[in-house]
Amino acid sequence: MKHLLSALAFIVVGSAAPAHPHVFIETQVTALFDDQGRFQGVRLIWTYDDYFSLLITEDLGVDTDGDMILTQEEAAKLDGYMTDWAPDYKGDLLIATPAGPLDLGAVQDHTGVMVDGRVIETHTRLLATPQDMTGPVTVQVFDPGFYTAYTVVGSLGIEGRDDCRAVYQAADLNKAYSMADELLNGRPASDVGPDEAFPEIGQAFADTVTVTCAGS
Amino acid sequence: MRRFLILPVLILAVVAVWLWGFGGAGRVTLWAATEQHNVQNAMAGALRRLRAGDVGAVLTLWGLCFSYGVLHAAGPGHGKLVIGGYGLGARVPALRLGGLAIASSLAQAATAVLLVYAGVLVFGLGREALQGLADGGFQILSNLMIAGIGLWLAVRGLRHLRAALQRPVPAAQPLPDFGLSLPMPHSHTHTADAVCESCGHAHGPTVEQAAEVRSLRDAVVLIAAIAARPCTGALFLLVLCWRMGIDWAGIGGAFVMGLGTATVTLVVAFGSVAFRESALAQAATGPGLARMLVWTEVLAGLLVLALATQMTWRAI
Repeated sequence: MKHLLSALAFIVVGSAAPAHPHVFIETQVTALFDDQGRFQGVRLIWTYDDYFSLLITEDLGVDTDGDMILTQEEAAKLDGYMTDWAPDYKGDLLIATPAGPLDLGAVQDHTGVMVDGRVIETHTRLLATPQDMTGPVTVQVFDPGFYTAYTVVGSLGIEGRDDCRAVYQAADLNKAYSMADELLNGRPASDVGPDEAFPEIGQAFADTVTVTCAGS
Repeated sequence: MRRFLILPVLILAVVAVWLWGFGGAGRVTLWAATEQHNVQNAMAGALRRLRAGDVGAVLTLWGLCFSYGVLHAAGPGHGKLVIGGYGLGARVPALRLGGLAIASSLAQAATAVLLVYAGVLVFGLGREALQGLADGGFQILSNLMIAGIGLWLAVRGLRHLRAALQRPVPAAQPLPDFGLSLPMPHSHTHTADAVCESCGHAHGPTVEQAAEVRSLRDAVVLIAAIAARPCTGALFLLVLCWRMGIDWAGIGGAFVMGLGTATVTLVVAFGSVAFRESALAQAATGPGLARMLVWTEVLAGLLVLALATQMTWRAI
């Protein structure tokens, strides 16, 4: 019987666990405060990987000469495509206080451009209600299904207040993958919704930006 | 001899402990994902050079496709589930299972090519629609087929078990080939060519013929179950190359990716056969072995069924 058990363990090599990411995005994060010093939202700059950028531009039929320079018309086409989110796409963003996630509001200043062959999507995401800084606010960008892998890059920005600071904590990917293997136990990361408290697998892969202000 | 036979069991046990006991599975997946990112970006570079007219870049591209296939297969996947499960559940020779592994990977590449070209040429679909098809309908179809394989392995095992219980295999008999050499209620003896000694006619296919038919049928089902779910990486490449007007580079690349994937599936194939034979050799000979074989078949089938059902559930 012991032989059989280990034989079965061997087949589980083939069992379900989170898929490999197919899209890689480097994200820059800037925290925004309103004129009353409340946390208002974030500005995100997403730089897509070379391969997916190529896929997008070829799919749209822009930059067909491959000189990585778009005509005005092509640039408008790319911008239109990048800023037209699918209805079920929520923005892969979680802003939270220790009390829990905060409701997200409108998407603003949304643009998509190509620089050196890479597609760059920029947008501002506001909170539904600005948040008084009574404690730390955390910002995470992640795809619950881990089809897209986001990595926080560059220096963290803060606009609207000068007594705040942002700290970056990289995801422990090693731990995330191991945890995913154990927790999901055959259940895919993709059906773990962003609203679900446990087991937040997609979130395990997320870098965390923590914003704190003087007196908070 | 038996001392050497235990080696595969030991090696696999150590690997299993590392994979699940010490977070090795996580590390392997992380490594594969990171490398995949690098390979993808390098592929973008090769594709740009190809479009610029540098035909030699196709070798770079195909080399990268091979690595991509290996890396992609390093994670969990349905092909390894099917091949591994079948290797454990049925007494299939290692080389034949290896051949199945390669054939199914190439068939999977062929599905991707057919899907993309049927999609874009016949139905005028875009990338997102194609991807939706691959992740939706095709995945569900593939998972259902895999669940079917699991069920079928289990049912076959149970039938063998029932037969074995009704009429225990004598200890002196050589290794039985289940499903074929079970004692049949037949009064006269046959020579090897299936011609009845006492009546001079053939009652049916020989054991070898029957085995070929069964393994051919098995082969078709296994390959179809794996091939029905094409890999997203191959779809991306095919659509890209089609858009760029270098279709041949993409089609070649998809099959090279399949070969890369096959290397990993081959390891699983040989591993599962080695494991089964070595575990069986350790366990017993004679009737003990017989019972062991039947139970392995039933349990492997049930496990494949359970995992495939789970995968189907999430895909719906």
